[in-house]
Amino acid sequence: MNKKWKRDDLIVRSLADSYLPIALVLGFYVILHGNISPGGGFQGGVLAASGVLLLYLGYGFKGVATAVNMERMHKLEAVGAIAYVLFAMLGIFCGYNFCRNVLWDSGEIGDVWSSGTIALMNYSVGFKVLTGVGFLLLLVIALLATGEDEEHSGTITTTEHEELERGKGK
Amino acid sequence: MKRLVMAISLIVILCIGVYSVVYMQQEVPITYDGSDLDVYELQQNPQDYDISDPDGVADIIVKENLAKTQAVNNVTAIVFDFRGYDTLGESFILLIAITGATVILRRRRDRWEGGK
Amino acid sequence: MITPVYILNTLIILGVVVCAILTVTVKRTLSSIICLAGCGAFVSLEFIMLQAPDVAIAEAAVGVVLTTIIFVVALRKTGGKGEDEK
Repeated sequence: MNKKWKRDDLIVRSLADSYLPIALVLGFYVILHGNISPGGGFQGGVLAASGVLLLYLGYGFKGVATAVNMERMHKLEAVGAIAYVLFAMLGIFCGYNFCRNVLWDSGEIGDVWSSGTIALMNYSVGFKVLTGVGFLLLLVIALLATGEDEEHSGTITTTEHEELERGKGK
Repeated sequence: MKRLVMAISLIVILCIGVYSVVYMQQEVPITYDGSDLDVYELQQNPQDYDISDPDGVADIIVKENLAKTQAVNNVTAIVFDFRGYDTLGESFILLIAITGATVILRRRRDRWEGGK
Repeated sequence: MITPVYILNTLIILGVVVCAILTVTVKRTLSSIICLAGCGAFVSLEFIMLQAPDVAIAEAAVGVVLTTIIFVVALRKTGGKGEDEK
């Protein structure tokens, strides 16, 4: 049980290479156009955070560990939360309520920059969800890695019935 | 350096709090009651409007939303403007959930140090 | 009155029901997780049919991708055997 095997991941790696830019562009498009098209901060953040998963599928545990800094991601999540509160406190500075939209008359209807603090709070929530869900995915990926020996750190541990099926196939 | 940055940020937050408290003591903040809107009129005397068609009411609401926030996507306009407190609590729920997952899986984080 | 939209709507709802029944009745745990992801995909299509693209994007991102990944990781860590496979 729990034997390790090296993956033959040429097809998965090429698919991840071709799909990773599309996933990132789609996620950031949904975040940036949150006020003029369906979507918003949460949906776009989750879509962009799935890039971490594609990176793991293509390049294994060591590839993700060299590409993404985990601690920095965990700290940047707090930056998104603080940015949301600061954009919401713009209303207090101008003499209105908390969360009052004070920049709303700032462009033509349909522009990207047309709705004042709605767009800014949208971006901060998107940044927060992107880093938060990415950090959660990194924690889940670290569960799969064995970690004792360096050479097998990019492999997936298999279970017993899959080993039996692989034995039957040979 | 870290302590300096933390002290400066704490002082800034304290100044903001004192400023807002003093401002709120001086005059009552302007609240939004919506008394000059078509939707308010619709709720007060609905016989003036054609509400037999559901799209008629939706048109009034969409028009008022556009005039109020200039955001084409009405869901984003409601979530980030009129229901700002709701979104604030929702995002902090995500923060607390991830903190809990970090506490449970804290032993696994050492593997990332070895991977570098 | 039967229109193409009506037929498509009926097919999507039938897909949701069939995937939900398969999730409960299938023997292997991994197949059950895949059927749950298929149920989420059909629910996302149904949200598009009901003109709620926001909820459809959230459902497709969270209900199909994230839930499946977390279930598969939990299955790997616990040995991959359900109660019926002993």
